[in-house]
Amino acid sequence: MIEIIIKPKSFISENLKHEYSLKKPLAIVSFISILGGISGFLIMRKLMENLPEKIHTIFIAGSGIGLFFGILGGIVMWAIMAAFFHIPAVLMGGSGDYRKLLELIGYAQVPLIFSSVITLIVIAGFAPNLTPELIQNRAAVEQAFLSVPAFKASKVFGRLMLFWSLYLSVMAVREVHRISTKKAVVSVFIPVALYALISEGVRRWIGA
Amino acid sequence: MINRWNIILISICIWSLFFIFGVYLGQTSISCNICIINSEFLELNVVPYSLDIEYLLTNNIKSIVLNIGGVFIIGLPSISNLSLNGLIFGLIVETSQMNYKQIILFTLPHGIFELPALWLAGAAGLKGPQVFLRYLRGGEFVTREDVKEYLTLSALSVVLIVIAAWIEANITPKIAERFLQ
Repeated sequence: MIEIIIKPKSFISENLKHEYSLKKPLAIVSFISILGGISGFLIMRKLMENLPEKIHTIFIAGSGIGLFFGILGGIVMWAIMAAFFHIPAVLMGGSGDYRKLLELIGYAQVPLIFSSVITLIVIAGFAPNLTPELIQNRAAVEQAFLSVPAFKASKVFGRLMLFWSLYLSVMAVREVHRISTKKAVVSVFIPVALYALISEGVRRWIGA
Repeated sequence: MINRWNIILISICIWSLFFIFGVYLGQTSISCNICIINSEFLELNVVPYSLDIEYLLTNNIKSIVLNIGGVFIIGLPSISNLSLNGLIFGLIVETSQMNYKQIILFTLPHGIFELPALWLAGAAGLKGPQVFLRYLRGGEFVTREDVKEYLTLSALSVVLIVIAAWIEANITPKIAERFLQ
């Protein structure tokens, strides 16, 4: 699995010789979702310290449900993302199998494990600085985080890992569909740009 | 192979599991201020209850559409809506000031239509992951039979929810009034 990081091209070429198998990619995607869930849990635990004892049962239950839906959401997003990369590639003359692409897009998430681990470490280290008073104000929580250089650095690192993951996705689309690099870049970046635009629009619309 | 009865059963199981969980949560937080839990803490935005048919129909249809439409996102909205619905109903049953007789009187007349509608719509949404998993296992993607099943489940759920809304607006209050006198 580490080969996707060291020698992505040979890993993908070798992988294409075999029948698709989704076990490992599924584990990768689930692991990233679990790390994200733990980070969220750490923040919420700190913010809810002052709340009554009985609310903690609901908090723990809520965290469990959140984690479950987080994992499920991560898996669904992976499948949808692969579909969004697959469709333009097919429209541009690609002839690959969606299931094979799904597998390789799962492997392409490996860099996100690094950024998730780093974020988790930073949050675990920074969470003691959060105060329960901030629970009412989401912007204040964000501000509190951004005032910590380590968090800013982890955010930049996260972006880099995301681009690395997208680069691996481009390679996966190119190899699975046997299309040019240019077409593969278009197949990956059009859905990603649309997603970024829509999510930013929604974020502004709901005022988050 | 997951057949149509199984997805209905899975839909019922998801709802029931979270209903039981809601009841359990209601028991553990019985002395908490339920208003805090409902509106401030969990931000569930409890809407003002009304027996106006238009209001009931709009709300019920929204829930059904979310379940049915979930099919396009591999059933995720359907699963979360079924869970949330079961959880909230469980919480309400456990934390309401009414006794069980009153709860049954207030919910049973329309509930016998509303719950199956919700479960059938959930099953329609669960066609998404069913078809997707079958495809991943090497099967066909979407067959004519899948579309037929999906449309049947969706149509049935819409019909049932319309009946439920009409009963909730016109029959339930009368039954409850009569029995509670």
